[in-house]
Amino acid sequence: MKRQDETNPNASHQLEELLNAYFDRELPPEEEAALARLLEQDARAARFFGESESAIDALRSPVKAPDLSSRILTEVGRRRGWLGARLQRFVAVGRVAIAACLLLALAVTLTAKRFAPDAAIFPQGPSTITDVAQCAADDTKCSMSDFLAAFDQVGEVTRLNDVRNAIPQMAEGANHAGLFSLISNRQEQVEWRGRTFSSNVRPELIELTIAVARDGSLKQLTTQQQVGAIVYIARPSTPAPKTEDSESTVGGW
Amino acid sequence: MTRAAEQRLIEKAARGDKDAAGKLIKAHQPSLYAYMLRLSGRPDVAEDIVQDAFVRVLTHLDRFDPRYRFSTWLFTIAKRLYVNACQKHKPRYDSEIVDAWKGDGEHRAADAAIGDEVRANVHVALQQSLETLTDVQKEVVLLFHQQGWSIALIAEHLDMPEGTVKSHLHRGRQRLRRALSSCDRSKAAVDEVWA
Repeated sequence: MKRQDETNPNASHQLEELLNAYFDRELPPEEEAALARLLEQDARAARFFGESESAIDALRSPVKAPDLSSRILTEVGRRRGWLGARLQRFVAVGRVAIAACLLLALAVTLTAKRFAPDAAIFPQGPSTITDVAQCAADDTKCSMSDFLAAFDQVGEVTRLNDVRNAIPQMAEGANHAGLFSLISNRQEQVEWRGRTFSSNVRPELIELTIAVARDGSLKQLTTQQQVGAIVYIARPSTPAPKTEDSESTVGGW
Repeated sequence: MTRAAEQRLIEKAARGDKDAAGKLIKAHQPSLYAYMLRLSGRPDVAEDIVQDAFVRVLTHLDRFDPRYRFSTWLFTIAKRLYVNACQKHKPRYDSEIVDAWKGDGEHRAADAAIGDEVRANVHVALQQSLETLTDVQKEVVLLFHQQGWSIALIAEHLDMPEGTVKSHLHRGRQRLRRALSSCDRSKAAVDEVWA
């Protein structure tokens, strides 16, 4: 039988391509017939084909592998441990329970934040003045009911009108630096006219007061809410006894 | 085993289910062992690599990315372990070891189960022939023809273009064919078994 690679290099190249495609599992079905014809015509190609098939079959010949399962499982168990079926169920149920609790907590928190924003205990970043003002306004509505009782105990300022009357004095540059400084320094107590007031209030309200005072708009504090915000800051912790030199202690405000 | 079933086994094994881990081992150990045996030519090395690879994989199942095939991950780790072992002590085909494997202990029992001495000769001839291939050719030929991986998967596994994989495959197959056919003993054995 004539050898195609000696007589026709193109045929030899075609045969090689067909064989490679066949063994690469890429030969289209319609070309398998062409390969079969070429193999029938070329004994050397047929031998090549047979040898290649034998080599591949040998590669696929089964290998009896030793069973390493117990050794592997023992070693893995030594490193990370295995869980019994009951413990696995417990862990699975536990995970679901934890996930449910987290979801429930999140839902409760979001609901609380929606209906009672002030009750939220999330740490907050710096608030804008607008946010703080809104916050102060809401807060004042609550604190106003405490206002008269609180200042009745002080005795110095007993009525809301008194506070209103005091505000123009602040705006006119009266000596309120002491209070201003105390608030700025985050001191826990504020001395005002010889009385001790707690500054244990929300930082946002202090910031609002400072911001309003700094930009000179204190004189515009005319609404009840704004006044209430200032009063809230000055809410007394405990009534202090009157002293004769109270005015000179701080120098008036 | 479908990939979905395999994924369920992986998740169970990751949670500490020993039975699921055992099923994963049963499913993949034969192919990995066969691959490592042909790659290294040494049953003792193949056993060590297979055991170590499974231990590592099962210990770190939480790191498995389900987008990929478990077998690919397993083979990749086994290959790294083999390369590390080669750096320490290059395992080479050793006829004495293979002979010992053919006639020793559980391996003798294993071969007896196959019940064919000629097949053992094929093992020897095939291993000798595989030793004529370069490391990359051997790996590509084994992954493609023994493990049935696709060209694309091998290219991804070895991080090389598909064309390069094909080139290694064609040359490796050619070299393997020549080596096997030039070995009279293996040729006779192959003919006897596979004719």
